[in-house]
Formats: sequence, C-alpha cells, structure tokens
Amino acid sequence: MPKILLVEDNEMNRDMLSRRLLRKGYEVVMATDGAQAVAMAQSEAPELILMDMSLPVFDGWEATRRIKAAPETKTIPVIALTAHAMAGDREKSLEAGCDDYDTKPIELERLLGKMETLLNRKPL
Amino acid sequence: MFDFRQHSIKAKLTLLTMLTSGVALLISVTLFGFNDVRTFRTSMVRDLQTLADVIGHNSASALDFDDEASAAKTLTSLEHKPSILTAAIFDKDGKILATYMRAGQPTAAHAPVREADGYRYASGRLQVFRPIQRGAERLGTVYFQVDMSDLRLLITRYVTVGIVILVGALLVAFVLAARLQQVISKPILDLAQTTRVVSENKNYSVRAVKQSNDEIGFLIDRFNEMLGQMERHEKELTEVNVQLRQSQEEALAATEAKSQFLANMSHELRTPLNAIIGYSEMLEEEAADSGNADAIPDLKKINGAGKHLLALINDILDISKIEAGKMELYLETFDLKPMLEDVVSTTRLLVQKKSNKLEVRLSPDLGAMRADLTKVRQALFNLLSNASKFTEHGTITLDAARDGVWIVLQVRDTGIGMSREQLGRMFQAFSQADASTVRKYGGTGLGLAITRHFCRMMGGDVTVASEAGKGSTFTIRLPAEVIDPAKLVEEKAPLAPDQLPKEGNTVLVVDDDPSARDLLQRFLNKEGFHVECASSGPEALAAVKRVRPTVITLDVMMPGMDGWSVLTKLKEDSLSADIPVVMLTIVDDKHFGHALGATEYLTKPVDRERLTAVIRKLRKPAVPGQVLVVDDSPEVRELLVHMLERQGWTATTAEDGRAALDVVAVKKPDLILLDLMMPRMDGFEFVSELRKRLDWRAIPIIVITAKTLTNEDRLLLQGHVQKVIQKGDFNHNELLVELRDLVAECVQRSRTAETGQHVQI
Repeated sequence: MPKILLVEDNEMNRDMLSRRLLRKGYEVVMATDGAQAVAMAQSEAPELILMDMSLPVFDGWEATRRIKAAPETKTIPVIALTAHAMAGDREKSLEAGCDDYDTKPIELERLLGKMETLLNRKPL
Repeated sequence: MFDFRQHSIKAKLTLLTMLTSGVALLISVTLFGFNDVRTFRTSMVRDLQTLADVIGHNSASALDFDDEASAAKTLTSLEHKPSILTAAIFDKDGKILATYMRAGQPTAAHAPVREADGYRYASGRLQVFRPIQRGAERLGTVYFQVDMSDLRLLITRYVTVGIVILVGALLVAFVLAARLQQVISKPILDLAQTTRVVSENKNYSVRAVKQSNDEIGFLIDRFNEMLGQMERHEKELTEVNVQLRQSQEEALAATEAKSQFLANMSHELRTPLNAIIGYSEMLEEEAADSGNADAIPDLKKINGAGKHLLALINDILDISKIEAGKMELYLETFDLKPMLEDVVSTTRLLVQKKSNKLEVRLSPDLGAMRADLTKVRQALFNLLSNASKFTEHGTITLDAARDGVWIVLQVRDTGIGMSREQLGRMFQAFSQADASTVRKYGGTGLGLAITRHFCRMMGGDVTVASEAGKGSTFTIRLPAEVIDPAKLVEEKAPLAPDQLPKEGNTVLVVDDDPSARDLLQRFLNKEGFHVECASSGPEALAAVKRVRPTVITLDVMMPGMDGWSVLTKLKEDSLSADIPVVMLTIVDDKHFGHALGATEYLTKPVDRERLTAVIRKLRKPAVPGQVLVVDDSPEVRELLVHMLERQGWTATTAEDGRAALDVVAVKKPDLILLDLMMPRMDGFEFVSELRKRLDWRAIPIIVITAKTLTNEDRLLLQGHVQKVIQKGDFNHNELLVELRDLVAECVQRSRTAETGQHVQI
C-alpha cells in the first residue's frame, strides 16, 4: 500500500488521522514540524504528503516550497490541510506548490477521494 | 485729503483738543480785537467832536464878524493834534471862512465842501462835520479831516498779537492734549493689544488691565469676562477632545483585542472539537469493523453533536467578523457546475434525514463566475440546510441559471413556510421565526443573516418569498463578475492606454518622427482615445486594414511615401475611403488637402484643443447612452451634464434621491452618477431603493462624493456601485477625464450586457 507522510504538529490530530489511514491500509510515516517534513520527504520517499500548514520551525507553505524545489522530492504530491477555512489559504497553498487542498476538520471520505486521485495520477 | 477715520485714536484725540481750543481762542481773540478797535474809534470820534466844539465855540465871534484871520488863528491851534490833516470853518451858508492845512501836507486839489453834520470815512480818512451853534442859532460848521493811521496801526498790532497768542496757545494745547489723551486712549490701545495677543496666539488666559471706572473700564470688564468664558470653553473642548480620542483609541484597541480574541478562540475551540469529531468517527469505524454495533448509534450522536457545535461556532465567528468589519472577500474564478455539485453532495445526507427529495436543475450555460468561492458555497449551503431542516417528506429544488450578468441560485422547498411577520425578521441576526423553532429545529438563527451579508458583500442579495404551510423560495442573485470592494475606492488610476475602449474610439497616428508620435499618443490617450501608431506610409496602409481606425491623423512630410500619396491610396480603397483623415503639416496647403479627400487640415505645431475637438467631432459617439446625474448642487449638475453632452451622451438630472427614482421610473438610464449627501433622500437610501427593483439592479452607478467614506458606508455601497470617486482628491479636469472614461466604459458594458441578454432570450 502507498506510503503517506503525515505532517502534523497536533498530537491528537496526528494520532487520529494516522490510525484512520492505517486502518484504510496505508503505510504512514509522521513528521511534526516543517524541517522534519522536508527531511523525511527525502529519506522516506513517500508517495504522498499530507501537510498541515501551521507548523513549528517553518510552516507548511515553506516546507512545501522546499519539497517542490528539490529535484528528488518535487514529484511527490502534496495535499495542504488547514484549519483556516478561507479561500485565501487555498490560493496560497496552490501557489506554494501544493497539488490539492482540504480543510480541517477532516472529512475522511473527501480526503481519501483527493488522495486517491493524486496517487492514481501518472507521474510526469 | 485728510481722512480722519484712518488715524489712530491718539491722533484723533489730540487733533480734537487742538481744534476745539484753537477755534475758541480764535473767536475770542477776534471778538476782543473788534471790540477794542470799535472802542478806540468811538473815543477818537468823541475827542474830535469835543475838539470841534471847542474850535466852533472859539470861532463864534469870528463868524459873527466874518473875521477870516481870527478864524484861521483859531484853527492854527490844531497844530498840537498831528492826526488832523485838514480843517475848515464854514459859515452858515456853507461858504468857507477859514481853512487849516497841516504842514507838509500837499495842498488840497480843491477846497473842502460842507456836507451834512456827523462823521464819515472817505478814502481812508475820517471826516467830521460839527455844527457851530449859539443857543438854537446855527452859526456855521467846523470840518476836520483826520488821518486814520493810528487805527490801522492798532489793528495790525492786534492781529500780530492775536496770531502769537493763538500759536502759543495751540502749542500749549498740543502738549497738554498729547499727554491728556492717554487717559482715554491708553486703555483702548491696551485693550486692542490684548485682543491681538488673544487672536494671534490663541491664548485665552491673558486679561486686559482695567485703569478706570468709566465706559472703557466697563468694556474691559465685559471683555475679560468673555475671555474667561472662552478660556473655560476652550479648556472643556480640549478635555472632551482628549477624552474622545482616548475613548476612540480604547474602542479601537478593544475591537482589535476582540478580533484577536475571536481569531484565537476560533483556533482554540476548533482544535479539541476536531479531536472529538475525529475520534468519534474513528471509533464508529472501529466499532463497525469489530462488530460492536451497539456503540454505533451513541458514537454517531457524539459525532453529530460535535459537528453541530462546530457549525454554531463557525456561524458565531462569522457574524462577529462581519460585525467587526473584518470579513474580507477572496475573489477567484471558478466553474459553477463542480461547485454546485459539491455543495449538493454535502447536503444530500441532510436532505434525506427528513425524507426529503432534492431536485437539482443546472442550466447548461452556467459557465464560470468570479466571486468568493467559500462564501458562495456557504450561502448556498445555508439555504439548502435550512430548506431541509424545515421540510419533511417534501421536495427541495435547486435551480441555478445565468441571467445576463447575474448568476441566480434558487432554493425552493415545500416545507412549513413563513408568515408575513416571520418574513420581516428573517434576515436579522439571532432571530429565527420564533423562539420555539430553535428548540425544535436547532441552529443559531445566524445562517440567513450571514448568507445575506455574504451576498451583499459580493454585490448581490438574497430574497425570500414564502407562504405559511406551503413552503419558501430563497433566491440568491450574484454578479457573475464580483468587483473587489477594496478596489472600489482606489487611488486616481486613469485607464491604462490598453484598457481604453477600442471600438469606435481608435485613432491611427501616422508620423515619421518618433517624438511627435509619442507626444500625440500620450495626449490622445489622456483624452480617452485608443491610439495606434504608424511611422511610414506603407505601415499606415497596413495598419488601417488591421485596426480599422475611427480617425487617422496623417503627417504630410514623410520620407519615401509622403502624406499626400498615403491619403490618395486611402481614398482609392473602398474599405478605407470613408475613414476621416486629419492632415497635420507645416505646409499650409488646405485646398490641395481637401481636393485629395482630407477631412480636416491642421498646421503644425498642432493646437491640442483644436485637435481633440476635431477628432471628437469626427468620431461617431462610441455608444450613445442616457446618463442620469443626481446631485443637489446645480453647479455640479450643470458641469456634469455639459461634460456628458460633449461626449455625445444624453443627460437627465435630479436634485435628490426621490426625484431620481421618479426619473428612473419614466426612463431607465444606462448609468447613474450619484452624489451621496442630499436632502430628502440621500445616495445610500437611493441605492437601496433602486436595488429593490429587479429590473433596476443592473443599472451601473458611479458615486461622486466629497464625503469621506466610513467602513460602514463602504459596506453599504459594496457591490452596488461600480466606483466611488472622491471629489476632494481631484482637480476638476482630472475628475472629468476620469469620469468620462468610466462613463464610456459603464455605458458600453451595460449596453453590451443588455444586448447579450436579448440574444439569450
């Protein structure tokens, strides 16, 4: 099953989403801040990244920019997850290089749909 | 001329004193002089008469005997009297008996002749005739002729002394007046100085010094009292201002703190709530997997309650953001169909909950819209969730269609509906139809208030039609292209040259000199024309085919193919033959130009005014339009009407909102230029009245106001007006140029929109 990198600083959210993803059969690795996310995108080579936007060290937008700037990781799809249900965030995320965007609280079915779309997309 | 009023009080007082004393002195000196002279003369006459009597008496016997020698002897005694020049004694028949002539006197040309008794003045001398009598019998007459030089000497002396006295007295008066006037003038001058200090330094704490208890003293007392009051008022005013500023700062700080608090709360509340929702969902999934079905309904309830709480929190945060004026629009262009399908899919469960059926009818021409996606979704979601909340075993219908420049989303239900009174409260925050509905149906009652606000922010609105027991229809109308309210009031930004309308507004400038081209282009751009350039004849001919200009300006002196040849070619081609050509040249050869078909002929250097006038005349009015000018100032109305008419538009006017509504009712204008501050019905009310009528909503409005807009004002106008022009920011010309371009744009847009609509129908 595909390996997902879940970047989330809130412990409960991380626990919850990881367990639900595990139960759906995904392999999940976790990072808790922006720097770790960039490092693990390199070392773990996940097939998809779920990225919270408000993160310590540097935020999700910055992390995404770095991941998308590195040649080894730039093809990994990134879905931005943010608590701010604002249209501005969506544009900001897409500008930073995110492939899709979802708002918290997570609706699992909707998120899974978006994940599957990106995972099934043929790599360029 | 001496102007008394121009001089200082000091000078006036001195002058008055001197004038008064001088006149009094002059009169008294003159009177004294006259009196003295008169007395002197009278006594002189009396002396002479006495002397004459004595002479008469002494010569009585001489007269008796006609004794000439004796009479002459008597007369000789007059030698002691040097003033007597001539004397004579006449007998009773008037014949001279004896004469006396003072030594050194020229002999009289003729002998004296007796005249009537008495004295008289003749040729500067006094003549005295005195009768000689003995008892009642008249014996003869004594005659003296007297030199008056003594009297003259006296008068001369008097005048001299008089003048000396006058001058001396005036000098004394001047010195005295100069000192004494200070008694009156000083307090007045002091008072004047005090008033100057007050008015120049705005210092109300100074006081005028009172020096006397007269009227000036009274004046100074009142003045000081007034100063006291002003000082008090000033102090109070300053205090109030300080307090106001303080309160304002506090209020702003409080609002800021509140917004910050809300933002933090939003995050703080949502995080644990997300966990509750997430874990309950997860447990539900696990319970299903592990076959623990008993727990599922309870877990569902936890999950449902959590989601409900989240919705409530979101609503409350939204409404407080709206009330704090912090709600912002994020405009993006998106396809309507996927958005609508997405909203429908999220509400499907809600709809089915009360056994309702959802019918969705999407018009095929929906296409894309530019708006705040999240807010459109939320507005529509609110309507759908309301409909499903208040409907059981019924049908909910969503219709989405494009109506010209508008997107119309309509949600119809067959639910409980509303009474007229309930409809009135419908869109108010925190009000559901009545308190019991909250218990029965849940919710904050904020959804519709939020929906309405979102729609209005985007320049649209939501309306409702309903009948109790039969159901309700909610209709959202939004502009397909929402204008960002932040850009509504913007810095002076004349249309960039590439934004100028091209249709019927393009001038082709043909000139080989790049600086001349540039100059003309910039000038014509400023005048609102779209400009294309060509630097040579062949290039010009190609450009004409490509851009189909409205007017061509053509330089005559060009290398290679000159202006005349270009003109000839243009007129030979039927496609370009009727494009007006304005020849620009140093060579004045009008006849030749006209013969070749030039429409106008201007000599270089080009008079810009003349050029614009010519081009404007040649350009067919780009889009004929009807503009309504609403302003309470007749001058402004006149100015705008003049400007509009010069552009080839027709203009109607109204002096306030109410009058404007009447005008609109008679004939719908293509554009309204609106002032905000007006009597009877102001601009805001007018806009809201106008927007109530469906067919009037699309009329573009440009607000021209001197009012500084508050956030509230801006919210009221947001989405309802095309543009706000601040009167104060512009000088007249700039305002007119900007307005002209805007009007052209708006009229054209509204015309296009209308035609588009017709085509659709």
